[in-house]
Amino acid sequence: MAPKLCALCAKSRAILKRPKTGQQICKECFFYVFETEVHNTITQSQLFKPGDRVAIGASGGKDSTVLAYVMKTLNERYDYGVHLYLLSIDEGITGYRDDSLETVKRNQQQYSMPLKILSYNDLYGWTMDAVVAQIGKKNNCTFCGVFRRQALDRGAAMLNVDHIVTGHNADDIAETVLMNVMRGDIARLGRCTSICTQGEDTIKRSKPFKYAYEKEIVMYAYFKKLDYFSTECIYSPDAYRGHARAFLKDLEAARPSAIIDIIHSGEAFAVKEEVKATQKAQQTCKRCGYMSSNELCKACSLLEGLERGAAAAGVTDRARKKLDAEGPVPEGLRTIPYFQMPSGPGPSTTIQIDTS
Amino acid sequence: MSCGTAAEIEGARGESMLMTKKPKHDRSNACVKCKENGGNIVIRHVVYCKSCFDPFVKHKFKKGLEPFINVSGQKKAVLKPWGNLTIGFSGGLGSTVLLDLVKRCYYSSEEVDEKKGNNPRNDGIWKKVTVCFVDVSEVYPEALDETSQVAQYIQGSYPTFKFVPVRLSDAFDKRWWKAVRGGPLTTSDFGVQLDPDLALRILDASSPTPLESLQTYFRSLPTQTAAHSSIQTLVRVLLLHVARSTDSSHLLLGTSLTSLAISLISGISQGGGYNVREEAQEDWMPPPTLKEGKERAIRLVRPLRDVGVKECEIYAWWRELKVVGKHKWPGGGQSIASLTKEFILGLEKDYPSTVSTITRTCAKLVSKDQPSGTCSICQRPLQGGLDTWKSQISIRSLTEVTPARSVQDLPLSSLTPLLCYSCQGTLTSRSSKSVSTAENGATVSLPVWTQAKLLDQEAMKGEIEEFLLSDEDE
Repeated sequence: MAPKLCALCAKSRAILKRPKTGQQICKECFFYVFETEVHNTITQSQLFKPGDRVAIGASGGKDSTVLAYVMKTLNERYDYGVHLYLLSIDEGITGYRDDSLETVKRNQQQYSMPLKILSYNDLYGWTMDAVVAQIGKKNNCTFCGVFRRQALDRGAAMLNVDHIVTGHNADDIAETVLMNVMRGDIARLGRCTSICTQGEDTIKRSKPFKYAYEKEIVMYAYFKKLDYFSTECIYSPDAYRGHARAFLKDLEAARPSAIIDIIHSGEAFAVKEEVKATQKAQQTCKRCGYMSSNELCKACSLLEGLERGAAAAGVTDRARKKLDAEGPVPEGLRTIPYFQMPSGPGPSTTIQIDTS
Repeated sequence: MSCGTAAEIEGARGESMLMTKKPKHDRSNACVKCKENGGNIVIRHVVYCKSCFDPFVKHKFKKGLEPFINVSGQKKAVLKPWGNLTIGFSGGLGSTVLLDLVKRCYYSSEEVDEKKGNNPRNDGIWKKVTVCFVDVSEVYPEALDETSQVAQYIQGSYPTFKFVPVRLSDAFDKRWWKAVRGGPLTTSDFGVQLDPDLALRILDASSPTPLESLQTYFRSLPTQTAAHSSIQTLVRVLLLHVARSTDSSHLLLGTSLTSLAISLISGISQGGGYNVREEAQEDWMPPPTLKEGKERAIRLVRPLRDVGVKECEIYAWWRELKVVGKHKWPGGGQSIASLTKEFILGLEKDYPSTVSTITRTCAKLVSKDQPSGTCSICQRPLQGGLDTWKSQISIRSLTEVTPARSVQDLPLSSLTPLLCYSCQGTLTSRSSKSVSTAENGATVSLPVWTQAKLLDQEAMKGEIEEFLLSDEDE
């Protein structure tokens, strides 16, 4: 039987079936369509302007490694004129993050990008190993997720960048849409499909892989022979997210377009204005200056709970009330350094770039 | 080391070392309403006795229906619909409960107002009630036609309600279309080729029978998901047309809270986010081609949308209602709807508020943009700019520059611009395991209302044709 020809160029032999379209295509056409679709996402949303300083949130995993490679490729090919940095967060998970950071350090050499590593230990005085030692594995993802979000912004502020790009892919976004509907998180549901989020007090953040299937990212890394770290976090994943992820995989198996269909759904609906009006207004954390919907931001609340030996105070209202009833915050409590937005364009004189 | 039996792990002093079971209810086991009787049922940690449960369900039913009876949508002392009532009856649990509640609340002497004597509402809010059953067994040769059983049940239990049986193949039947006062159709029969472009084709003069059209349609659909959602769509639109033909102002469906939550997640997973509002409730305006004088919007209401499936089951059990429809669609295990059902019911066990959270969340959502028309298959609002969106996010051709869809291409080249995102996916989205078969890309007949829509488009083009520029004019 004659080899099947690529559905796009009709010249080379098809070697893969695209999960996103079901088309059987050749390797070169796959690279072309994958990169061009990311380029289309970037240009249609006007994510960058020449001279922008952009930090790539790099974990060493497949998504961020492919993102760094594609961003570098597209920046050179289409002359975006942006300055790219790698920004890594060291959560302090022995046997997981220390190994993945080695990958990021190799990526730094391979892609010739400056790298900044910021650790939870430096920022919060706690590693995730220490957090798990105190609270156990249950709810540890809550701590890690909240701490990471702030850490990325703080790292970006240290790098004095205008913009953070993360490797969130289409599967992640579809999963988040489903989770937010099922958990009734209307505030997050309203913004989770936005490609770019920026508040007055936060650094612009975007997801160029918003429409890229996870499977295609893996295919891209495989065919490009990219150096990435592929171990799952050693601490158990968020149970609820785990349910949603397993369900999404089932849906994808039934009909691969389900991922993009869910994103389309998420983009097609909006939260009613009268519901939006009841949502809490954004404010600044009185302790660390980071954006918050309460007087105290989630990270400060979680950290206080850890420091006072009542970690659940940051997770449930009941535990928080109990902690408040125990009296005021003791003096000398370890807190997060005060957050300040980057001073403006141009390199900061205080950046400590890891070049090892 | 083995785990041991319960007897072996009894403590030395006879104390049980087994973990105590978490109680199903929060506080006492007395009824939360009357606080006297012992509880008979626990609904999301709240206990009810049998005598309080009945008014509780009736209250939820009325709350889900009465605010939507008057056109203005505001609940008034007098409920005054502008037309008759049609009830979609599948024979399943929800529609069985729905029928019983409609009869008890509005057409029975049972409802006596203690202060005012007989309830004036019991003269019947709607003058005529039609119960419509759509037989879907034609899709699956091995399935049993339940029409006669359902007819017997309705005529026996609800003799004052008119029974109207419909077949799924009526969606392809011009005689049925004429019988329900459908509009004019195109002189030639249009079909659609089930490939990514959804090219429109004129079918041979020797038209297949409605049953053959239906069976070819379902055989050619690319996935089980598509078959499942097509059945739901065709049933809903058939019911709407029956409601219109019986001069009904309202069409009621027995969708329970649980079923609604499943439909919402399943709909979102098939790209139906734009119509999330319609999934719970919709006002259907008959298309312009059907207009006979003053047409009014028919309101589709799901009055059991706050009553969970467990409550329906208990209600049917205590009321000794017979559930006549036992159908399970064959081969549906791998469809998105079936997977969603399995997932939501599983999740509900660990997170008991899941279904109500889903419906409450979706009730807070609206469509982002104004609709650009109505989908010619599902008859729901059509979102504009779908073609552009699709071409931006996935490249399907190296030569494709911009999608060349314009009014000049309509109505005769492609069905795509007339379909919503979900219906486009139903006809084109393939499974990962699908391989080329003879049926792929087959040309299938279109439902009669879609044919009517094409005539509408053709007429529209006729009106503006002299103003359109062709390539030679440039």
